Amino acid sequence: MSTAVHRRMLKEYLAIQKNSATRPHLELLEPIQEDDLLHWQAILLGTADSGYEGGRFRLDIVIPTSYPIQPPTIRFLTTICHPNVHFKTGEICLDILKSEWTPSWTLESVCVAISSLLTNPEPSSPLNCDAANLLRCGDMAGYNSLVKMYTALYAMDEDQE
Amino acid sequence: MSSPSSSSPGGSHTANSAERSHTTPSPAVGPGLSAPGVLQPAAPKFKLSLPSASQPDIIRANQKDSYYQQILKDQVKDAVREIFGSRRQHMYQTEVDVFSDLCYYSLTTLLGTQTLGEEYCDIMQIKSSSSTFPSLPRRSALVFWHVLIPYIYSKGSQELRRRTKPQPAQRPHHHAGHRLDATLSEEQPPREPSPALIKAKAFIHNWLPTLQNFFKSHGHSAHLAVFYFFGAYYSFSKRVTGIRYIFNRKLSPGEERSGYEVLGVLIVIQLAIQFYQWRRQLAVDAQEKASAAALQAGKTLAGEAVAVEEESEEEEEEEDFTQTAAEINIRKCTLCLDPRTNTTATPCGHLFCWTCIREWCQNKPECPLCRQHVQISALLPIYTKLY
Repeated sequence: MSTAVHRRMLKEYLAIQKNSATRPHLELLEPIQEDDLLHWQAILLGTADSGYEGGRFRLDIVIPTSYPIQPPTIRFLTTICHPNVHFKTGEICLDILKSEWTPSWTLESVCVAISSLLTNPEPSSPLNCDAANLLRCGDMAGYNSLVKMYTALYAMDEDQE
Repeated sequence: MSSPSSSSPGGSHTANSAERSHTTPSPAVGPGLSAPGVLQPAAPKFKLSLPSASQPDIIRANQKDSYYQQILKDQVKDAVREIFGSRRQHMYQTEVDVFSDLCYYSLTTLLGTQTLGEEYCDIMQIKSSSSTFPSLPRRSALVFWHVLIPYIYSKGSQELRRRTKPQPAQRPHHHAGHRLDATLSEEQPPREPSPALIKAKAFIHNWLPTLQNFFKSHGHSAHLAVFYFFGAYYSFSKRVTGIRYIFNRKLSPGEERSGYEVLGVLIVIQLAIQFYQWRRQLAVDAQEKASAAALQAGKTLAGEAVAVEEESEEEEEEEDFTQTAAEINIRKCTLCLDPRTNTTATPCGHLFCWTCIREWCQNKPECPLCRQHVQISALLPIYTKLY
């Protein structure tokens, strides 16, 4: 049982509760169970200027006991069409969650980073080749409509809670 | 190469010196040379009047030995690297070292000759109980204990620790600290995990490193102290196999042989002080635990959260006299999100707790805030009160 990670998670929890008003694209960020600070969930909202508008994307966040030396493991639970997110597993390809992690990131800032990844895809390191290929060919209309379709299919279900 | 009985304390200079090609320029009297097969157990058991070796001789011999062993190790390492490539050499480094040590002792002790260090210091192994030259099985046992047991022990304890880490414990009851258990337990067949076993597993996993550390620091010190007092067995392996040294050079008149009893006394004092500190620390810990338990009893996470919030608010209120909330924020360490303790600066000027930044830099030598390269040796604790 590492106490350092719990202390830090508690601090983050309190900070998140305090700043809840200042995050427009983060509907929810909290531990799944009150007594387990190492397993969190989050809900990202699609930004208005993207094909994800209106979607609610659920994230699963697992904190390793060596946090913050090691990054948290984050994946999408909601199916999402994005060049850097695996369509089936929800795995996210983002350098700050892998090699470029530094302990100065917090769960909150990581969620903001993922949120901005949605609007700024990086097709050169894809986990979803179909979406990335559309972008690489410059077919923005095709890409946007694909994203819109999957958002409507999977992320707008009112009953997903 | 022969039993000590064949060399009288002062004699046999002439015969040996020419034949000792590999030795040091000491005026040592080596035992008379004869074929290894001819020698030993049959040696007549008459009373030896040679004095036992004193501590300085034994230590000097050991140092000389480890010096030559290191040379051999380096050469074997080079050879292995040439033949198998440096990746394999790196992977099997410990095994290669054990192999070269084994070679060294096989060619000296096992064959019945002195090691280079022993020859340098004119000391000789004998069986302490009977004062005779140690038999081949006994010498084999010595080499086994000296070279292989440490290796098996370290590998075994690693393996044990690895195995007890995940699910079930397969070793029900044993004293984790004992050297042999670590190796023996490997052979026990897996069993159904029961609550007792899981408990045992957790116990082993938690206490094994502690016990190992304890033996490594204190057990070794105690052994060394005993050696300094009595001068019989410098290494565990010699104690186990009961092999000690005799001294076979004639002392020139007026030459004194000193012992290291003073060092032994110092070690005993050190151990006593450590024990005393440990006891005191234990008492302090128990007290802290008791008060912490009293504080925490019956609180849920939400309760704790509120408590911490209140705590931090209290802190803020206390500090409001001198500083604003923003200033408190500046004093926070971005790694633990607590106010910094033992503030430490990176070369790029960012401030963290000492423990936080050290732990991170061991993981990845760059600044968490600006990614600039940070040598762990370049971390600078700041003792000036900052705000």
